[in-house]
Amino acid sequence: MSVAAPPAPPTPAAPPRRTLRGVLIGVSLAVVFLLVAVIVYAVTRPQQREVDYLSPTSGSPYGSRALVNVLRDQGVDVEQATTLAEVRAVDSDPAETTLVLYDYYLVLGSDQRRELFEIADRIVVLDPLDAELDDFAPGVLHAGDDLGDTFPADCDLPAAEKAEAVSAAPYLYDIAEADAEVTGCFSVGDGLYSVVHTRTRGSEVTVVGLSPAFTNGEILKAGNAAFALNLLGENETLIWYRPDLSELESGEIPTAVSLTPPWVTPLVLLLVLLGLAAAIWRGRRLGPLVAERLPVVVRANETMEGRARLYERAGAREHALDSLRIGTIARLAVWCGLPRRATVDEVVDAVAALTGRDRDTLAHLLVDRIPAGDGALVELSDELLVLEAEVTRVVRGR
Amino acid sequence: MAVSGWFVLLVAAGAAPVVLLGGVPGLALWGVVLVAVIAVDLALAGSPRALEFARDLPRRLRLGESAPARLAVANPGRRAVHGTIRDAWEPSAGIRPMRQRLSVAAGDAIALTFGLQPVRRGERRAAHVTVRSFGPLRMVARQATIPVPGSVRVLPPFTARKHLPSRLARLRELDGRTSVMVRGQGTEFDSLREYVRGDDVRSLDWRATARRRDPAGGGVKLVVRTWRPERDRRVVIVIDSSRTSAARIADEPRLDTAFEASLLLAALATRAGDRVDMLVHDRVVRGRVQGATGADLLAKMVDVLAPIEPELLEGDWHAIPELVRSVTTQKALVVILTSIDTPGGSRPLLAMLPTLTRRHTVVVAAVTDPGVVEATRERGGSDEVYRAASAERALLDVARVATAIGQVGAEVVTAPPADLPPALADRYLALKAAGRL
Repeated sequence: MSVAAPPAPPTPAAPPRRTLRGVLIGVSLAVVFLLVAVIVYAVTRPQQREVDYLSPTSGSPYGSRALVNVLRDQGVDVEQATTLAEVRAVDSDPAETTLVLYDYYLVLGSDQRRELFEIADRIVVLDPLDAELDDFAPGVLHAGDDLGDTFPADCDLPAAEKAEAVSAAPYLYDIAEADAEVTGCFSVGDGLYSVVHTRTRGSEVTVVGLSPAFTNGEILKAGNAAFALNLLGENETLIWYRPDLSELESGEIPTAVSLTPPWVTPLVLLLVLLGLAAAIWRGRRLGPLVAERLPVVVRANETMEGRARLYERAGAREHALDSLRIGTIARLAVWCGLPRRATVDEVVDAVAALTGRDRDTLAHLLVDRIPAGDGALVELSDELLVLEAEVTRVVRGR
Repeated sequence: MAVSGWFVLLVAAGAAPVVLLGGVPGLALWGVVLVAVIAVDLALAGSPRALEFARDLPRRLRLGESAPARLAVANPGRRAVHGTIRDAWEPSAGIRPMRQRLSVAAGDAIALTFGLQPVRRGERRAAHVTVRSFGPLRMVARQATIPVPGSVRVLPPFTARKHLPSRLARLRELDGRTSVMVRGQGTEFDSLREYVRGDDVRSLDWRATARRRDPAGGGVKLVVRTWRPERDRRVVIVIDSSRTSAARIADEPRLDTAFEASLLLAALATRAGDRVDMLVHDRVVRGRVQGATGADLLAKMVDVLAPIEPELLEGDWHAIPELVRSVTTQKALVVILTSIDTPGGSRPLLAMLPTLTRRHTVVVAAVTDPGVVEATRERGGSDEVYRAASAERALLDVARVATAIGQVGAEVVTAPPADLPPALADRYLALKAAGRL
């Protein structure tokens, strides 16, 4: 058995040099990432207008503080709520309670909506979509929206009659499929209305597609104020309910988490464990590698290639041609049987005698001609090769 | 620690209890099962650290040949070891298979055989042995890496050997030739023999003819003198291992071509009765073979040459004459294997040569690149023409250096890698025939 000393530890390689190019790529990636992050934040951030819209405490053109304050002045007890729990906490007689619902984020589920019927006998639903209409006014369909305009009341709903006309950009509702008990107000034509009155589950439900009319900015237009005050001020208590996203955290509303079965999280943990086990199974090496000191690899023709590129980049045609001519003349001298030290003139004479070519043309080719461009250089080099081949043929043929 | 694919499957099977037992209890149960399995396997697996190893390696191996590398594994422990074993060699040792199954009963010993087929000459080392020992459930294994050093010296391939028989035949032809062919300085008297037709009459030895006259009468028997090439001359081979020897020509470093050429020359010269010494030098002496003869010479040479790699240093030529003088003070044939690429790079060599040529016969042998000659003929486009011009320029440089070497009294042998060894051998034979050694 032959035992040698353990191999010397490999010398640590120098850390790779960080190039300017790499730095530039890194910086531009970071800039792009930041830009994307800013854009995503700007797009997803709730806008102030959205936060304020129909808020009973906001004085901005989109809020509804003016309406609420007037109602309070008239002796109406206005309670504002953002979660179902707050709505339930309002201690009032359902028969003397009006509830305004504006569910912009569609946070409430069907069960939660139906619960509202027990809290108030009069419910005003602002800008509902089909999912809400199914619960509040079955058969009424949402039929798009319209640009702002002034609409005459055109029905016997007391609040609407007193207002005579309203001005706002409405949501439109189609009542053609609904029960006979349904009343449509503020018609836009084609059987479409922006306010619909009906009774559902023992409560009076007013579907109002005219929510802009309740904002500070538009409440003074046409009969908007009269319509709003008469509609909402009929009872002692008004619950102003705008569910927001915090409702989701209260546990009242089913979310993805509450719907998943209890074993999902442990199963995910098990999958992580499985990945770990598989990584160890495949990734664990059977002992470390043995370092080997490799010899340098130097290609011998590197200097030749380098010089060729230098010639080309510098356009050193005459230099290059000189080299080619010297090589050709040396070989021609050998073929003509001249000594190594023969002069160019002697070679030209010998070749002229051998091939029968004109001496001056030969001298021009082998010595004097200067190529104008790369194309001429290639031509000259080809001519030199042809000459060599010719001399070879003549000498062999003798 | 290492795990098997079965263990991964066992982890995956945990999905059933997790779903059926409803989450956390299932996961906890399976965690207990997995821990138990790991504990059992780890506790009952035979210890890989208890194993004892011994290597049985060939001391030397020629590049291109393969040889078995035996590894004896003894298990003095109390439990059997079942699993996988890997004998870790340097990658270019070319060990196959990379890993084997291992099964040693307690108190038992086995021998494993791996195959070595090195792809690079030099000292190829083995560093350690890694054993993965699985427990009885085949789920989890103990793994240990035990240092078990070992090495094999991979010798240069000496493919130029194939040229040896023909050169030896030429050498024999030199023996016993009559004077016309070889007589002169540097030849020595061999024997007297009877004249046969065809012998040069000028080689007749009249004194011996007179002495051999038959007393019983009869015809005159003419006697000629025969000559043989001189023997017991000195040949000193100097191999340049400096940076230019690292360059690869036809996928072989110049240094390796130099090794081939010097091995062929040494084999031939030692058969011809000359004494061969060898030096490998860049700034310092990397290898030296002195005073060996016959078969021993080649064995020593390959052994010395095997681990030598080109050094990225500028060669120190001034030291060469002194080195040669330390080998022999007699007149000798000094063969320098180097490269003669550019006049600038060869200036130190040219400055040193006259010192050597004053005393010795000097041959400078260099590898030429067949790719360069090829490049002079490829002139398809402008870039190829520039390349051809550059190649012509390179050839011209070599020619200039060769001329300069000739002017200081040394001979030059240049050839492509495959042809350099026989070309150098032929030059040696020519010098010997001319009696210039």
